Amino acid sequence: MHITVIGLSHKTAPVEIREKLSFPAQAQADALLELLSSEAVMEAVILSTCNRTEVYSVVTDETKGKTAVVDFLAAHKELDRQKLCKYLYSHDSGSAVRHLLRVVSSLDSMVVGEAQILGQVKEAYSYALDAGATSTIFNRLFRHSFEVGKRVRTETEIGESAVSISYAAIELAKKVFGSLEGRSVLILGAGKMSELTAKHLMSNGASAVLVANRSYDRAVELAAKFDGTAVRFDERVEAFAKADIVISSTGAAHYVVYKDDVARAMHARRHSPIFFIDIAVPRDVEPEVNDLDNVFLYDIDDLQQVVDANLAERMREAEKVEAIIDREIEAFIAWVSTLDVVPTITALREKAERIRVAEMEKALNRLGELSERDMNTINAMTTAIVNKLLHAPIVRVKEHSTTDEGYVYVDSLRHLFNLDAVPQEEPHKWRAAGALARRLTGRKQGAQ
Amino acid sequence: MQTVEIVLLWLSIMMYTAASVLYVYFFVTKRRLMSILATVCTGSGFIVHTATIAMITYSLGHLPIAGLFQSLLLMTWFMVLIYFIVEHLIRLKTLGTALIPLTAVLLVFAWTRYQTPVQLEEILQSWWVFLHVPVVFVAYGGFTVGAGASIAYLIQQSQLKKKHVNILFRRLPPLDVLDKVADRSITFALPFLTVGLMMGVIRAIKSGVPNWPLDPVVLFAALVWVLFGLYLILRHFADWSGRKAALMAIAGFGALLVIRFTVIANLARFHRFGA
Repeated sequence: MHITVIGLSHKTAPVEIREKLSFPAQAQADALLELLSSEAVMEAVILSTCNRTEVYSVVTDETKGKTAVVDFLAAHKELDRQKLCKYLYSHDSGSAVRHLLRVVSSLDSMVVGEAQILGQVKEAYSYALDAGATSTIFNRLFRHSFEVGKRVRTETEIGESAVSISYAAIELAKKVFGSLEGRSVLILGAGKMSELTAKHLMSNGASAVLVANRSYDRAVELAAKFDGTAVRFDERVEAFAKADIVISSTGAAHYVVYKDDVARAMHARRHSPIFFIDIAVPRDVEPEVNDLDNVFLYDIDDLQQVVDANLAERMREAEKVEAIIDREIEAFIAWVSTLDVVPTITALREKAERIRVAEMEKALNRLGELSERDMNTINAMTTAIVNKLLHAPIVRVKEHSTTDEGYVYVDSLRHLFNLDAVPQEEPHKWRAAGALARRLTGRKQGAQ
Repeated sequence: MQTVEIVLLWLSIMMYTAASVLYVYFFVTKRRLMSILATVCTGSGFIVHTATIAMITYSLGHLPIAGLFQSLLLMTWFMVLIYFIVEHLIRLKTLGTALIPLTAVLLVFAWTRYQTPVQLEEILQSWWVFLHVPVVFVAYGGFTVGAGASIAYLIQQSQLKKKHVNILFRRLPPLDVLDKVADRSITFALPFLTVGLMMGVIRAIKSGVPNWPLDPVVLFAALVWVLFGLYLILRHFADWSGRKAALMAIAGFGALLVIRFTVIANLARFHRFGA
């Protein structure tokens, strides 16, 4: 079958190339039409994200189809074809299906397990659907792939745990506080990284923000961004009483938070839990702070260690995802094959029956009057001959239908019995499916 | 015991065992279907458990409170009941992973301690006693949940301190939740223990038991009451929370286990149930 994908991603192309080859939403419809104007391309979906541009297509002929897609990419974006080809990869048939399923499951993403890709593929598909660029095969394949994407998310933990420093900090904070709703954050030392982490905390429900900085003006400035309060740097320890999460990233050469300070602050905050995130190097918070009850301290290495552990966990989960994909590919290929084999068998049976009935009528005309018993005997005999003759090929073609070479047998059967020559008597549905099957098997109609 | 009762008991043990396997499977794989099946199994086990107690009550003519077998049968029933309430209130399914297997084990243990029922001592044949026992068992259920949450708290806390992120860390609920569950279930249980103990005391005074305050069971019960009372006082007036509070709850529960399995069996004086 000829489902192909041609494209490039963060794995094969630098950003300079990727950005040139992007297809924004408003350009999709025109691009799809241009692509479909090629005779070889029957269906197409263009997936364009910041990390990849891929053209999925159902083509009549492997070589012609691929050439058409590459030509389209080069022409549409006015790129040098030769140069472009260096960055492109392509997959066909089963391997194209696998590629799509790996992409929606985010196994092929820069950060394995990230959650956005499924939505992006859905979007790409809906552009193609709206532009009328999809049909039986892709409607089935893409919807199937969304199911797989969903299954992967619910049945494995591929996207569960945080794989960046700031998200790891949030994950840990949630393990301490449950919900971050209503928790307050103290930023110690106004840096980019602490600002980013504070932003994430806010979007996860944290409410109040306090900012303490050596330069008070800078503290006021940053506090204004969060609608928060600036605190004088000397009063930072007092601020511990009000903050549940402290993000520290000052440029100080020595500790700015000592165990004794925190112990005192714990008294003031009635021993409710406090979480220190020390992302400064050299460290800001004395490590012994972690020994205090209800005080949790993570420095940058601890966070990195959490991220590494989570990444390793995702890799383990990725194996489960591959197994799911294997099963799903089988299911899809089996579907495509039945699409092919069922109408072929039906057509074969119908043709045989037509011949049998016609020949019997001729013979009966010649024989003249016959008893009912004789009629039945002749009827049964002809039926038996036809059935016995067709039995083996039908069983064989069914057997092979789910294998990779299944189409060879189906195709041979259609060719040898000339099944496509009597279209006026074939039910319309089967005819369409037959054409589709031929497209999938890559044989042109003219060849038969 | 009649055959029907034995069959019912084992049926409920089997249901709880199946639920335990499902809970553990759910804990590892996090599949929703498993958790639903686990709840269904626990529920059916509980219904059969209830039927067992009803049958036994019918044939004894009173609630099964005499001897280790009978009282464990009743106690586990209250444990599951309270677990169900907690699961419903706060959707804390991971608790079932610890509690339902415990229930199954306790029931099997109870079965091994089965004795032919004896005539209850006259002093115990009173409504005060028949209420005293179940009310105390409700408290046991609450304390068990509280202690379970406290143990989970200690594990989770030490993982956070040591910066271990493994599957246990991922599955166990946040510290804040565990701390609150422990607090609330003990706050819920202590009034029941108080009322239950008062009933016992009233009965002891009314029937003129000599030296009842010196009975080991009474002394230990008082200790448990004091420990959990202290737990609540320290939490609310001395800002105890987290590790220290969890250790206290576990100590209280430890004392409770000592009474249940050692003191009543070996040292009890008037808490004996048969001649």
